[in-house]
Amino acid sequence: MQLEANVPRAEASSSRQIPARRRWTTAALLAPAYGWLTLAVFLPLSAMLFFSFLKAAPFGARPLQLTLDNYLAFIRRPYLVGVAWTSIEIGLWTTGLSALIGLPAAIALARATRGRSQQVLFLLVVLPFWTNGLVRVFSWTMVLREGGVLDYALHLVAPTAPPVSLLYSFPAIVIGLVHAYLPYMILTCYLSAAAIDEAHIEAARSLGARTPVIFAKIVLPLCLPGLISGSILIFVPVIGSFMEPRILGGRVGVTMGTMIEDQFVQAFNWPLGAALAFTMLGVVLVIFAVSSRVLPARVIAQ
Amino acid sequence: MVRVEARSIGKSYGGVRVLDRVSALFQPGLLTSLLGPSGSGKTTLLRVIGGFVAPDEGEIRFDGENVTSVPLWRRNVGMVFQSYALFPHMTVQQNVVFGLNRRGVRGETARKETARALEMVRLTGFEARRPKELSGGQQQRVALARAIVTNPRVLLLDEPLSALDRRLRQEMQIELRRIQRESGLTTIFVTHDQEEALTLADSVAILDRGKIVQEGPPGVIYERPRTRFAASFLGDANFFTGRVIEGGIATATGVVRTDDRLPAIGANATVAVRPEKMKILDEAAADVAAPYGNRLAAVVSEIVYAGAVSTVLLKSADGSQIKILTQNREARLPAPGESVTLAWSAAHCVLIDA
Amino acid sequence: MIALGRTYLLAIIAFLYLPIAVMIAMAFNDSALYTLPIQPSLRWFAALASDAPLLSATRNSLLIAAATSAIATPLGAMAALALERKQFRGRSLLRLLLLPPIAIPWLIIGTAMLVFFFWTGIGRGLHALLIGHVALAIPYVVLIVGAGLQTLRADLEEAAMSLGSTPIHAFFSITLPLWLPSVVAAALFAFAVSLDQFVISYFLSTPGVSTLPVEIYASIRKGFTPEINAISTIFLAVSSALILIFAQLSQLGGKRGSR
Repeated sequence: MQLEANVPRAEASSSRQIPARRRWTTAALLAPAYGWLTLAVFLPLSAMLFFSFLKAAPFGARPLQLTLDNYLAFIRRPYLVGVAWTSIEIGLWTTGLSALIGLPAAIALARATRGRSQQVLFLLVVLPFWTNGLVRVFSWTMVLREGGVLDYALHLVAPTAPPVSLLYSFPAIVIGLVHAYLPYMILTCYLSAAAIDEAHIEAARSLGARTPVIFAKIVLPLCLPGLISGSILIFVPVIGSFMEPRILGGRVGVTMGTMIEDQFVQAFNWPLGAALAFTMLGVVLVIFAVSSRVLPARVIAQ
Repeated sequence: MVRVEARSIGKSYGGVRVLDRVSALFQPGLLTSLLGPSGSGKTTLLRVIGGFVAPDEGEIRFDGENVTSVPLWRRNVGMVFQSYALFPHMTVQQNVVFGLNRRGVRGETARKETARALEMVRLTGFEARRPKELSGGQQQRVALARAIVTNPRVLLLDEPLSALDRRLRQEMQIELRRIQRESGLTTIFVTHDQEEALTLADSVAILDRGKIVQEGPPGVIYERPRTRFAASFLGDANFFTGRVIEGGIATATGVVRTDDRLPAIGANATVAVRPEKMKILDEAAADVAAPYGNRLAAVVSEIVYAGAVSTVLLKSADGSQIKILTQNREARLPAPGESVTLAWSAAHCVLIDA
Repeated sequence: MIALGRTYLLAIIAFLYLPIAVMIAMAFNDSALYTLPIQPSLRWFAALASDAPLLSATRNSLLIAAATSAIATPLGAMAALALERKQFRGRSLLRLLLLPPIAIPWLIIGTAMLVFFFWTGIGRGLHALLIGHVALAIPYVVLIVGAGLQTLRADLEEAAMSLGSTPIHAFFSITLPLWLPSVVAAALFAFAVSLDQFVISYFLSTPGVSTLPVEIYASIRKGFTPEINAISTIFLAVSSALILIFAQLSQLGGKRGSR
């Protein structure tokens, strides 16, 4: 059954033309989407990076002058350090509170509910997340302001209490942000908690571990990936938020987000705004880079 | 009935040579099994024959006609996938009639052909079901009906039974054999299960690292393996290696005699002996005097009981392990630690390429 | 333990829905100053009908959301097809490039678009909003539709081809029908993403031409008007409905494909 090994060359090469055509198909499939992303995301980001090194926006006949001044803003304008710190504080408080409130909720969702009711509760938790953030922030103003729902409820219980207004304060910003981002934390922690094998817990129980020990030694470590990815997913957008501080914080709410917004819509100092935005982007990238080393790819993909 | 030929097929994936100029001939109307471990290239060869993969070199011929550049959808092959690949959004009827419609067969003719195919796989009455409403075995039958209904030039099966449990698999082997005979299609069957290859196939081709190492009827391959790989992949074997002397091979444990023609004196040679061909001599009986060509002292190390047969593992004087298979006919099996004498005929020592 | 867990969960859900409930309640409250207790009225909904800027913003929002969905869905689906089904170098890099539009704060992307569009003369307005929204929606579409493709085995198409289907026929008769639920889900999602988008719209809209969220933001900053509650309530109902349909569809897609 050994047959001659020679194959006509022409035929062998005709079957090789298919990959070349396939490459064109692949390129044609990818080009529109990635072309669009390039035009609308990647080129703008590059342009803004370029702007951040300019002395002034290159409109009219103004000459292009390169400078590092904008990145030195934190040194030249010390109040920016305070603003940045406010942003980080808001980020830490929001992330911390979300973790504190969200983790138990996720564990309760994963372990104390079953079947249909679990599905419904899960949907109830994630649904507000998909409703308009602006609308939800606005609705908090009606709860927190003087004469608002909170004030009203308080006076139903204690009629003599002084009027309460949380609106336009640091706590108001944090409450609004926790409300906005809590579903993220519950979602990521739930995915971790739901993956915990009942057998682990039963094994620990059979070895004599009591509930607090089981929580500390088994549930918590296994939920950690969810907790970390949830924290990143919250911290990153929160330090870039600007409408929540504006609406709920009023004059208190001066953050990096509102500073950047101001440079673009009020002060028209685009190079400074660009530099501030890229400083923030740098922080975000560092956070992602660090977390991608700490976390398995699966968690980030979610 | 179509004669299928693969001529020096070569295929590499990312620098790994999966098929190394493989040539094979598949006789018309017969069921040939491609047997090999995973990574041996058996599925790739099947996919090249079917036109699912273009080879880097070589050609495929159906009845002498070169079909290498004929695309999959015009090659007219029937394929049964490991996962069955039934169309989940179509009924059984729609799945089976799909290929007929693609070939321009419609209406009453198509309906009759479909009914005939479903009858052949014994699924008459299941036409309106969807794949997810069928058991694994039934899905398998639908896949088979779908593949044979168009009367393809060659029927290809890619480990079609591996997803079924053991009982169902044995049933389906018999069914498959019947359907293949009834349809008379030239059939190529990929498996890694040696037992399946032996029971199903008219002919077996053993693949190892992208090459066919031996091809022939199952009985011939089993009784006369040509290489150590063929001997150990299809069934079990004990190997004896040594230097050729006058009348046999001098091994560490004595001279082994074979009826095969030995190479020149002084050369190295290896023979394979199937476990069931070796026998433990019963010291008490007249057996001792019986004319076996080969004898060997060994110590029993372990006995694995499996109902009809037992596997006995032994150690010979030089420490090498020997495996024998014995019918549980005699009342007594030796105990571990017992010293016994093994005997076997020179006719059962098959000379192989080591 | 279990009862405690459930109670806690219900408390969290109450927290999540409290402000929303308040807003809906206020939309039906007669008082313009949000005074309690509530006196039921539909006057704010009625007032919407004569609020021209709000109506025009609503029309813009729906228009852009529909256009975004119509453009981003085929573009994203094509890219997903290539990313899932084709072997080529740089595939993982292209996948990675889907993340920036999702992961980088919108504030940064929005301002970058503003800078770039202004600089290149694309300018602001409806067309700029559309360019931005489509870019934001594409990565989501690729991810959703790609997940739908992953549950579809590639050998279904091979099976069809071995039965005589050309690759194009195999795609339309086998892959597309099975893929459709996730494509529809992705289209809905793209619609919802665009409808809810505020930050980017904020930077790309002009005083005359804006979307509903931008208009709402402007009203909030100008001062309170209960009309915002009414329009927000409607808005909320629409986006919740979209998401519920999406959840149903994507679940169905998963169920069908996995069998």
